[in-house]
Amino acid sequence: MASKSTSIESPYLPVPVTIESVESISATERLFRLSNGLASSRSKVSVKGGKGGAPVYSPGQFFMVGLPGYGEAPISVCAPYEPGFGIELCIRLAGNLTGALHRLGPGDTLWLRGPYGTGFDTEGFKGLDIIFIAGGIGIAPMRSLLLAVLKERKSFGALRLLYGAKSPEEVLFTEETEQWQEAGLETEVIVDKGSKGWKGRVGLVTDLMGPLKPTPGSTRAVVIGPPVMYRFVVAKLKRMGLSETDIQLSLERRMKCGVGKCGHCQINSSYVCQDGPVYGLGDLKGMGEAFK
Amino acid sequence: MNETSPIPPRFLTKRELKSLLGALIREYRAYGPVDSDGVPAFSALTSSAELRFDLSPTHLSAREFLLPSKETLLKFDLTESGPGVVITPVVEAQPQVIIGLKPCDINGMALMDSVMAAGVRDVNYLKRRAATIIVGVECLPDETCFCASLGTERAESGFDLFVHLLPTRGVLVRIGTEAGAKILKKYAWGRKAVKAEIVKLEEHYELKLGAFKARLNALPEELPGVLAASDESPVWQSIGSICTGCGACNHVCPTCYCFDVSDELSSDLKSAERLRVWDGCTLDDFTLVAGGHNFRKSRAERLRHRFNRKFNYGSERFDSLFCVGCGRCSRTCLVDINITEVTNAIIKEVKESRG
Amino acid sequence: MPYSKRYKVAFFSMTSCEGCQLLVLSCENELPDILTHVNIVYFREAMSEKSTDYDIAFIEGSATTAKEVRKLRKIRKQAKIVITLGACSSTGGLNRLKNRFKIDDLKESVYGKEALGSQAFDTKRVRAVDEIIEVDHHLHGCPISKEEFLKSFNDLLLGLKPHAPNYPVCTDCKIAGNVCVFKKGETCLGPVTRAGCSAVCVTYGSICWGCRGFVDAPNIAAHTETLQRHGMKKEEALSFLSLYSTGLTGKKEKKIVR
Repeated sequence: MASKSTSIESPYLPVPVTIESVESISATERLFRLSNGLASSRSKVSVKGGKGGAPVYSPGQFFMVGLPGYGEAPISVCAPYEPGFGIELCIRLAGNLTGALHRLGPGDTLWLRGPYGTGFDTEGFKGLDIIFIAGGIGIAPMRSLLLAVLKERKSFGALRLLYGAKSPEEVLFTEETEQWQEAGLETEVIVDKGSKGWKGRVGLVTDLMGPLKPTPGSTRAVVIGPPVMYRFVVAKLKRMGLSETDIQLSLERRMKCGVGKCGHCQINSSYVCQDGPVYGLGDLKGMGEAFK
Repeated sequence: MNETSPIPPRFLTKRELKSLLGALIREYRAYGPVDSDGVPAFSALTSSAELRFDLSPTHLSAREFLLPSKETLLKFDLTESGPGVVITPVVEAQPQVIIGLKPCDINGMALMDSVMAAGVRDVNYLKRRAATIIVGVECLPDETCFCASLGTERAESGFDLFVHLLPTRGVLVRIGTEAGAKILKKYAWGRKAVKAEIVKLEEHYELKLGAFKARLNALPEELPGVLAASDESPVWQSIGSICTGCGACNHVCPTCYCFDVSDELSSDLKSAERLRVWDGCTLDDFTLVAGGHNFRKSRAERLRHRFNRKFNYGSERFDSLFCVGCGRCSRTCLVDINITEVTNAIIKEVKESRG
Repeated sequence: MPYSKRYKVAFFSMTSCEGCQLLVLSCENELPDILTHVNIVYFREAMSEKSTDYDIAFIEGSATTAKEVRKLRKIRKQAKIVITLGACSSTGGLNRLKNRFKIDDLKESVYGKEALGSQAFDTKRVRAVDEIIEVDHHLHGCPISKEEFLKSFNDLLLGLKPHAPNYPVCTDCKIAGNVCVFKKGETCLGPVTRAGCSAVCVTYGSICWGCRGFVDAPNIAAHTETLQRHGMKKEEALSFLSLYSTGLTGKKEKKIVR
């Protein structure tokens, strides 16, 4: 019979990772590049995945990111896994924990558990045209997918990114979009409200969808954005003839455990932390609350 | 929890039962139902005389003993900073015995077990569960109990020992696990039950089934479909408008397991703990995310979610309903949201719309 | 750890019983630790030194005089962070009962007829601190919860925004394992009152009087009916509900998500 407190592998035990660099990419977003591998630790910790290196993860997956004394929150990876390189996370300042994370700099430590959830199946996209539709901070998880796709650009058909942000100041990865364009990703950005010096388009991301002529069956549409965006974008994609199997999306929810226990992320019978955050539109059938 | 033991039921005299319970209370940390100011409640036991097997289900379920309302998951030693922080996982499991669990609660605990063991194992719960001995007791329904509508009025497994009070001077004890057999052999082995006594069990179940006043007007297997068809029902609005979002229905439920996780620092800032505390899907901020979006904005949506969790959502994931018919949520609700009445209203609506 | 700098902290008292300050002083085990991280520069109940240079101001008590209103505005100008300490400052507290009467009637009954025309009696309607100046965080309760006070202090030291729960006391009561007071034939305000007190009153045999004010979205109508079902007249129920609170709409607490 078990007794007292024992040292045991707890699913809630995080590992320490050193921050390599922090880049402020907007007033509220910072891009954290983590070092490859664990910080030397005095805690007894073990990680699944590569020996000493970062665990293997797919685009679209997430980690529980935390600080002792501050708590934990789910954060999606922002770049695809690459052997020898560390994890990249784009963190928005939204509360106490992210506020504390934003005060960290190179050489500081943050704590991770994961990766969790389903990722995007880039293999399944091969040979197909892909339309990436991102809104707001949704560009961060989307970036993990589109960088993975661009790495093997030749394996895919036509690639197009439609990206909507609230204001020009909130457009993320502006410098990178040119590189993406050069690498073969046609990129269009639109903002809800323009400001001085903004020469781009003003409107909603659905306004960029007009010229799309997707070929059902050989096109995949990937949608990641704020809750209000999904309903409209998905309806428009469907009107263009795309079927449920052609459309994939990633959903945000409150999460406290990441392992299907705490109940916060549940939509109908689905746990977003386990069955998502990446879903095919067909998986969400009958789940009225998915787009709330 | 071992396989069901093939050992046939044993007959114990009332005195033998008393010495069995007395021994368990002496040897283990023991909990059981007592009368607390006229309300049935689980309590730590010091003597078998405190135990009451004739009461309605306790106001709170027994989940506190397996999933404490507040539990430390990790301890942080912050003496050094950065990677020098030492994190120690805390998994505490003291041997304990819960006496007097009714069939509804035993079935509810089995559901908790399946949730905590599915996929990534929740060692905190499972270790505690493994260190827990369950002594079930047969019961009769009160006016709110409706386990018979869900097929949870009997417990066939999920206990170590199960006591049937016979109308005669003794009790019949079913043995559910080897651990249960060992305990019985050690403290009060009694004698093998005779056929006439086993027949009494079936007579009791007949009496029990006839005694239910609250019932659901659909078969258990119909319920997931009924709830799935109820999304737009006006019933949710009507109960949502009187709900105060107090969370009592969640907290008294034997199959609610949702929890929040937060960190707490010591006042010298040199140590901290990561704690999990009970949370409930009927509380206003349950689905609130950083940035301010709340995925279930209204109490109507939150109650719809809770009812679906009990009668629908679990059926896909765990092949079971997640309500065991104990009626605690109905008894605790101060605005009289009654689970059988609400569900029957939904059943009626859906059946009528299907024609 | 990104701990913040050494804050200068001041404790001020308006109209109140000063019980919340006393509760701060009763944190005997924790105060030595706290004092290694902050300087307390003003605390009338505990020390004779005075300073007007402070970062964090804890304010106890409600504003009932013109002098107090001026004092509050002065505090707001100096302090970077203003925190109310207890029910009187957070919602007006029991002092708010005064607002059920006409000021002149009160003056007359307390000080006599001659007080009516006199300027010497500085007394006004009772207001919570945030009805006069901006408040960064409320510490609710009559008195405050020691645990919540200490936790908020830690949060401030770490540069975090303190956070009061937004669920009713019933949740704390269930966590405490209490039998519901309604089951014992009594009534309480638990279903509409902000938790965070560990349901201490019910645990020790009393009822919830609602001293922590309402949750963000209290269902007052439903709870009024509950109280009526349990034997109260409607006026009694509404009077009970407004004992500690700023009226019947509830006070908005800024939501912080961790």
